[in-house]
Amino acid sequence: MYSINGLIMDEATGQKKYILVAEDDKFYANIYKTKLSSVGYDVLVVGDGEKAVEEARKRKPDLMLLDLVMPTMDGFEALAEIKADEKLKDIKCIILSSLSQEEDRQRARELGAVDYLVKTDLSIHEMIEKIGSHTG
Amino acid sequence: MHNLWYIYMEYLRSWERIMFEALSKAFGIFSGSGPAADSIDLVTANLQDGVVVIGKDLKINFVNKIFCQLMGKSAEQLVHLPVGNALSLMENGAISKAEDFLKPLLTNDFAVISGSRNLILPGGPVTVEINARVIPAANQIVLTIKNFPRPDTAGNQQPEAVPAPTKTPERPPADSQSEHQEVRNEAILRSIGDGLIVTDQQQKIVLINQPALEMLGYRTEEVAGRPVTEVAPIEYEQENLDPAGKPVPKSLLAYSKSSTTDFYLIKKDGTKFPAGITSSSAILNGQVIGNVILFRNISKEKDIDRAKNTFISIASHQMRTPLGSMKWNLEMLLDGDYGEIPKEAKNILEQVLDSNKRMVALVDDLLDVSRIDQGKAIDQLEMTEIVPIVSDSITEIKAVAQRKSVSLSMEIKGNPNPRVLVGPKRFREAIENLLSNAVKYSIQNGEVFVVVESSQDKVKISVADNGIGIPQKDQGRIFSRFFRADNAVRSETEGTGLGLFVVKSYAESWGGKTWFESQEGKGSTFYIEIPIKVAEEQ
Repeated sequence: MYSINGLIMDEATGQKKYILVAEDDKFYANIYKTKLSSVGYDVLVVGDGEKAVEEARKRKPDLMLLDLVMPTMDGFEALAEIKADEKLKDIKCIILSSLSQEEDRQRARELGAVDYLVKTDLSIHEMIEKIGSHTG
Repeated sequence: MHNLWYIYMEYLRSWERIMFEALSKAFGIFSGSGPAADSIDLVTANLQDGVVVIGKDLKINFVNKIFCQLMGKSAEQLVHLPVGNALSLMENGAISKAEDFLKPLLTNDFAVISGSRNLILPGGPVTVEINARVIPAANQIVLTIKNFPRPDTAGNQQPEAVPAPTKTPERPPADSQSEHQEVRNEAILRSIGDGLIVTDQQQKIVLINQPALEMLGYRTEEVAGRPVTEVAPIEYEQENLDPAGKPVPKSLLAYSKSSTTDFYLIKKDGTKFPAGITSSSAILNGQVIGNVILFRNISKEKDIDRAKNTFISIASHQMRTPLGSMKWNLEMLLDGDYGEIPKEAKNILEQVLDSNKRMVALVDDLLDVSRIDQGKAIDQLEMTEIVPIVSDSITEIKAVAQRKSVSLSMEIKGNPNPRVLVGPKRFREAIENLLSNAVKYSIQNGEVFVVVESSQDKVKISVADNGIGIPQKDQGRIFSRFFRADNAVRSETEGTGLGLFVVKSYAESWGGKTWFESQEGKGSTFYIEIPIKVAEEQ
């Protein structure tokens, strides 16, 4: 990964790193879109897990951020589906939720998430740093 | 003679003479000289409810200790008093005397009055559950008062069970009508709405009342003389383990004091129900003559508790979502992500962000408490180096401390880098709570002194301040949830009264303990002690 004019690029292709986000809350959706774009990622935000899996099949992201409580298909189900798909299973997935129960963390770990972040525990900078540590 | 007493007497035949006399005396059945009310004293002293026995003349004949505490009067002051002079109720905004409330009972011998009423206590009206019924054989009314606010909702300071009977004054001299007294006593014992079991020293049942039989699903003849451990086995709520991980003894006699939650009693048919249990030794003339066990089905309380926890959990999560996006948006605004912000507006936004963080912290506290209540607060334990966590927490709180010119220092005694088995995140939270309290209740230019002291088998962390201290009268409740001492509320309006409850619950979940020393106006020192031995074993 290298950076030109603050853009986060893939060394091999020279393209921006692509982050696919599943988030149904419109305020959070807007934050991801604005902040992640401003630090140089290519960002697509969708409103539920099903659309996230669909988009991942169209264009494989470098990283997926999954909210947990979402309509149609929740974050755990989306994560399970990604990990069950031969073509998608190597995508790094981060759970980013308001839920902070140990059982949820455990379940995310078991399903193969690389990280579990509680939104309210992090500042926006810490969130960007954590994401950076998984796209680097 | 009644069936129950027959079985009881049968059983007594096998006893040694001394025990026979002691028990007989306690239950007033041996001779005319046995004090008639002792048996009621023995039983009601162990009740957590207020009990008043009222004659048909509407004068008080008997009160138990809890009732005296409620009324703030002694038994001597209350007994023989017309009940209306002692008890008043608040109905539809007007005060009504107890006589009015009891009237329906006097006109109909079989009526029972029960329900929520506003009872006027010395501290003002309090909503309680009242149950009053006439005992025809004894020509008395038994009135019990339940569900009044306890001094300590956390349940660790229940009123002490009093084994020795409190004497009522001017008891009518015992006469040849001892049989009448027996009937009266039995009727009163039976009218207690809670389950009652009396055992001998060998834990065998010598007396059991109807509610107990109904709750456990037995008939009298099936249980008399059998060990209580067999008839009413108990089970801890989760996997039959107590919080320290030891199997719970399968006898409710193992608990000398009250426990209000977390226990199940197993019925004859194998099903179980959650029970609030009080068990204590019956002592007569300095001799333990058996045990008095009182219990009640607390399914309803459990359901309410569960609903409350679910509500807190859902509400908190729902609140977190907008609070979280608000926080990130505010941070982005302050960073200039949405364009340059004028300096004054920036100041305001910083204040809003500060309030937002406080709300997030409050919601986190509420969630913690609801998880502790549900027994879900135990996170993954790992061998943790605690000194770095303590010093990190000190660094973090420095900015707040500096605003009050409070100095922070730390000393390590013994092993420079002790490791204990705790949940690191919760350990940090506990230390942060103690530090934040110490700073919050420090005086200007105060000092907060932290010591981590390791010995062979334990690590003790103390956080000392020279701040406002805790008034003597509030010290007993300081670890209760939502409790804040009077002077704390005056000096600092912010605070939920959850911090120390959380600290205590966590410390106990690691097999440790928490305590404090404090003097009002001089300061407080709080301690957490965590065993190292337990850590190595697991």
